[in-house]
Parts: sequence; structure tokens; C-alpha cells
Amino acid sequence: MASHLLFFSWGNLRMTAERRCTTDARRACILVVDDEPLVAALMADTLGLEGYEVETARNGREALKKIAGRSYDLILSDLQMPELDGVGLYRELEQQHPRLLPRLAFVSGSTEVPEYASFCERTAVSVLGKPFSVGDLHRLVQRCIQSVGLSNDG
Amino acid sequence: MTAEPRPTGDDSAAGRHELAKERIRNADRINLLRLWGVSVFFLLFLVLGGFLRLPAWRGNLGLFAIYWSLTVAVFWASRRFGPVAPFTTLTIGLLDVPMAFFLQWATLATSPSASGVAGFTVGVYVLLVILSALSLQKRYILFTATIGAAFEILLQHFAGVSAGAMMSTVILLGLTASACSYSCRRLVELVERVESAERQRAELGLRQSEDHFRALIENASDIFTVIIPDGTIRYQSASIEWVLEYGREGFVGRQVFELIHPDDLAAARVAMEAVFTGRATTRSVELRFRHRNGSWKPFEVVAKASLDKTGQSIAILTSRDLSERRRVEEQLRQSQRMEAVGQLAGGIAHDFNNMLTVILGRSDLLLTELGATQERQRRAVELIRATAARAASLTHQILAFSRKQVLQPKVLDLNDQVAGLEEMLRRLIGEHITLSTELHPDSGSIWADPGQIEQVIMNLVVNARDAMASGGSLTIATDKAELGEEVTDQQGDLAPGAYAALVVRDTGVGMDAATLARAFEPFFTTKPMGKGTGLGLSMVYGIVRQSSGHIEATSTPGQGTQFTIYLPRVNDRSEAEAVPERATARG
Repeated sequence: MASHLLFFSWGNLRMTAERRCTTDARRACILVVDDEPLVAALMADTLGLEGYEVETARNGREALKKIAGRSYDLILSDLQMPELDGVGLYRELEQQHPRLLPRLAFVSGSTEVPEYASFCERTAVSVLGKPFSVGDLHRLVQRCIQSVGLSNDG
Repeated sequence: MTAEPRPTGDDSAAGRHELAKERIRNADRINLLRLWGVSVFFLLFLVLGGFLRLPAWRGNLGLFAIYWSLTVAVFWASRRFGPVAPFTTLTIGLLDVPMAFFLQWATLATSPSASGVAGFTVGVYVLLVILSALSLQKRYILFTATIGAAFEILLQHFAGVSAGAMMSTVILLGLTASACSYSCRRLVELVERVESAERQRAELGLRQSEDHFRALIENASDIFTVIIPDGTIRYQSASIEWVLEYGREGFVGRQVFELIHPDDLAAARVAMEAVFTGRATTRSVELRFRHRNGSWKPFEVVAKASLDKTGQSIAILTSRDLSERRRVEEQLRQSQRMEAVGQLAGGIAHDFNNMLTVILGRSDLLLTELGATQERQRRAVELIRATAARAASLTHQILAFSRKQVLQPKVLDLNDQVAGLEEMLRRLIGEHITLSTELHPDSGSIWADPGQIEQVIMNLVVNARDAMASGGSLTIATDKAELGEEVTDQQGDLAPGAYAALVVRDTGVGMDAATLARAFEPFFTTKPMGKGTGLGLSMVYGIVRQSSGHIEATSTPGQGTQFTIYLPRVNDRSEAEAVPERATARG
């Protein structure tokens, strides 16, 4: 949504931001869904330093394609995105991969938009507001993975 | 019945005219009756005297032929010549009565019974008197009766009737004439009474409708003025008393231009000329009129050309006060501007959040990579991070202003809120300012988000503190208030009812009118660059509006400022359930 404000394009960042998930079950694999490439890159770098495997998607539609290809231990998604937003992604997961729902958390600057706020309240999905500190992000990821564990068929 | 004005004189004339017409119609009827009656008798004479040769009839045949011819002539003349008609009733006395005499007199020689003779003619004369009553005129009735009595006495004299019997005949004719003229008079009086009742009803209706329209004009909020071409005021409706507060007759006879703002005179003259020269029948123009207190009020003046009773050219001016409309328009513009700025700010805030996330996050990452020895670099990155954090809190404020923040309202006691903050506020304002609270025990509960009310109080207090750099006193008061429709109507979507009031009053530098008008505008600040964001009061405004409340500010430069916030009062929880709908409707 704010790409016009930024100097970097998605293509430049792709190589640094994405790290291919391996089949090593000990390392949790996280899918970051954010339409803002700089934010996606920051999350990928931060979580990468902590030893997680991270893949990124620009919106819900792209995330669904990736999810169809393999399974993730955690999906961190923005709420306000083009094509398919966070709420849409939740609904699609509900339909196609209900077992992945507990592995979904939102990281968003739109938590105060009334429709998103009421949605988050209803669904009990973990939410981290933007801007967040690196510590906030780590705590969210740790809590989520501890509560649901690593996925078996990764 | 019509409601047109009709002077009384004309009216009775109309009644008389109607009566005269009725008399002429009756004269026609009399003539027609006579024509038929005489013709039937003439036919009888022709048959009995002409064919059967009965002596009594035969002897009078010639006389009756003359009589019949005269009757036909009178009938023809009354039909042919209008002025003759009213007088044809006379022919009863002049023709019929003598004719009855001559006919009877002719038979006197052959008829032995004098009393029988007299009895027959008396009957005929009574009938003729009754017939003449159709004229509705006493004088014709008396004339017929007098002639009849004279001929009858003459006849009875020839027949040798006694004086006593003669007198009874005269009395009979006299009574008949009196009865007929009495009936006629009553009939005429009845017509006149009906006529006058109708007239009174018409006058009453006219007066009522006049009163009705006068009341409409006098009680209207528009001012109606009648002027003549030189601008002199002929009439001024009473509404000038409450619209411009002048005395009722204050401007009648004076120039309309005395009321008009000097800058609008040219426009007024152009419009007046257009109307008076007939270039336009109506002309609408916006003019400022002088209020009694010297201020100018905007009016929409519609001038309409007309003529008065004497044919003098006049213009009727209908002037409508536009002050109220102007004020509402200005308010609407103001709130639209606030709305637009709020939306813009909200949109920017969202993008800012994303960017600040990156700055904060990257700073965090950098800090973990920098070793403990790299103190200078650590310090720099920490400063970057702290600055970004401040920017984030500012973004949060912008979002609150743009009303996108979700409220968590509950039932709050306003006094508790103020009391809970008091200690912190004291530290916030410093020792050079004295803080006092005036909490009304019945100020009541409100339905609002406690964090936001806290923010409102703090923002107002900080604002007051900054206005009192050299010290002063700050008062926070609570109160209860009833806002009537006269207040709420001016505020658009404010509902009338019970409100709790929160007052923050300072003795600071105050604001002039121009500053006061923009006080709630986002990014408007009088503080030095870098000191104020210009968001404090606009946030207060946003929160109050979001809580279905209303904020008022009054200020006197050099003396201080007072902010009064009205928030809807709730009595209990069940009532509180109803309020959120109001509160979130414009979220």
C-alpha cells in the first residue's frame, strides 16, 4: 500500500529476504506475509538471526500458493494487504487448511481499524501491533511455537 | 357568498335594486293574469252576448271589447317599454275597478236584488286589492282599495242600499287593504333582514381573513416592507421588532437606505431601479441590515413590484435573516475540514507505522550486533530508536484524532476520574501554578473510554500550563447540565438531554477570536517550533465528538481561557447500553 514511499523494489530484496526452508524438522519454518517489502525483509532478517527459516509472501493470495506447496510451523500475516487481506487469508485457511489456523498470527499496523479490531477479538488469533520492537516479535514467535509445537509433516 | 369588500351603502342599494326588480316581475305577473282573466270574460261575452243573444251580456259587449283592447294595449306596452312596467299596477284601480262598476251598473235595471248586486262587486274589489298587493307597494294597494270603495258606494247608492250596509263594505275593503299592505311590509322587512345578515356574515368573514393574514405577516420571522420609488418606507411588519430589535413604527416614513450597509447600497439601488422601472418584476439581492446594537446582519431581500390602491408604484420587500444559515454553513465547512484533515492524517499514520516498524526493528537488530565496546555507535543507534519511538507515539495520536481508534467505553464517574489524576496533574503543571478542583457531587456518570477521558483532561491541563508560563491558577470543575434543543440544534448531531460538564479554566494569556476559531484544528499551534504538535486540542475535539459530546471554548486575551466539555450523562448500566450506538455510529 505504501510502496510509492519506498525506494526499494520487491525484486531487489527477494534474495536477501527469502531463505528457503529445508526439511530439517528442528528448525521451525515461518511464512511472513506482508505487502510492505521493507517490513517483510526486516522480519525475515530478525527471525533468521534467531535461527528460524523464513519465507515471505506479498499478500494472502501468494501466501496460499506457498502453503499449498509445503507446510509451515507459523504464518505471520499483515491484515491490510492488496488482493487478499489478512481476514481473507484466515477464511481461506479455514476452508482449505483448518489445521493451520492455530499457526496463524497477525502482525499489523491496522489493528485499530474497527473491522479488523472486531475480527481479531472474535477469532482469538494472536496479534502484534506495528511498530513493534525486535523483542516483541521474538516473544510472539516463541509463544506461538511453544503452544502449537512444530509441525510433523514439515 | 363572496369575501370581497363591499361598502354598506352599496349593499342596501343592492337590496333595493333587487326589490325593484321583483316589483317589475310582479307587475308582469299582474298584467299576465289580467290579460288571461279579461280575455276569458271577453270570450264569455262573445258567446253569451254574440251567439246566444242574452240581453244582459249583449248590451255590454261593446264596452267589454274596449276594455279588452285596453288590457291588451297595457300588457303590450309593459312588455315593450321598460319604464312603463312599474306603473301598470295602477291599471287595476284605473281600469278594472271602474269596469266592474259599469258592468254591474248596466245590469241594475234588470236585476231586482240590490244587495245581491252589491255583494258581487265587493267580492270582485276584494280580489283586485289582493291582486294589487303583488306590487309590494302600499300606495298601489291603498289606491286600488280607495277607488274600489268609492265605486262600490256609488253603486250601492244607486241600488238603494242602507248607510250601515255601505259602511260595512268600506270597512271590509279597508281591512283587506290593511292586511295586504301589512303582509307586504313584513315581506320587504324579511328580505332586508336576510340581506343584512348576509352582509354581516360577509363582513365578519372578510375581517377574519384580514386578521388571519395580518397575523401571518406580523408573526413571520421575515421582515415585510413596502417602499415607494424614492426609498421611503410605507409599511414595516412587526417582525422588525424581534429580528432587528427596532420599535414598531421606527422606520415608517424614513429611507430604507438608512438600514442598509454602505457597501451594499449600490447593489440595493440597482435592484430597486430594476424593479421600479419594470425591467424585472422580482429581484433577489443579498444585503446587510443594521441591527439596533450597531452590528450588521446578512439578509436575503426579495423585491417585488406592485401598485397600491391609488396606482402609485410600490415595491414589496421580503427580507429573510441569513445569520443562522451562515453560521450553520460555517460550522459545516469547519467540521468538513476537520474530517478531511482527520482522514488524511489517518492514512499517513498507517504508512508511518510501517516505516517506523522498519526503523525501530533495524535499530534493534543493529544494537544486538554492536558489541559493548562500541559505546559511541550504540549511543547513536539508541537515539535513532528513541526518536522513532517518539514518532510512533505521535502516529498513535494522529490515529486517535482520525477517529480510527477503537473505544472501550464504560460507565465512569467524572469526579473519580479527575480525583484519580489530580496528583499526577500537580506534578505535570509544576509549582508555579496552583491547581484547584471544584467537583459537583451530582455531576453524574458518563459512558466513555477512561483512557481517552484521561487524555482529554491531560491535554487540556498541559494546554493551560503552557498558557501560564509565569504562573497562575488552574481550576478543574465538574457540573451537571441540561442541554436544551436551542443549544443542541446548533451543534448538528448533538442530542438534547442530561449532560455532565467538565470545565478546565486557567488565568493564562488567553486567545483572541482568530486563534480561538482555529484552536481545535489539527496541526494548528501557537507554541514555538518543536514545542507543540498542534494535535493536543484536536485530539480532545476528536475524543469528545466520538463520545457524543460537545466542547466549548471561551477566552479573553490576557485574562484566561475556559474549556467546557459536555458528555451525555447515564444513570445506570441499562441506559449505558443504549449510548454506545450513538458513540460508535460515527467511528
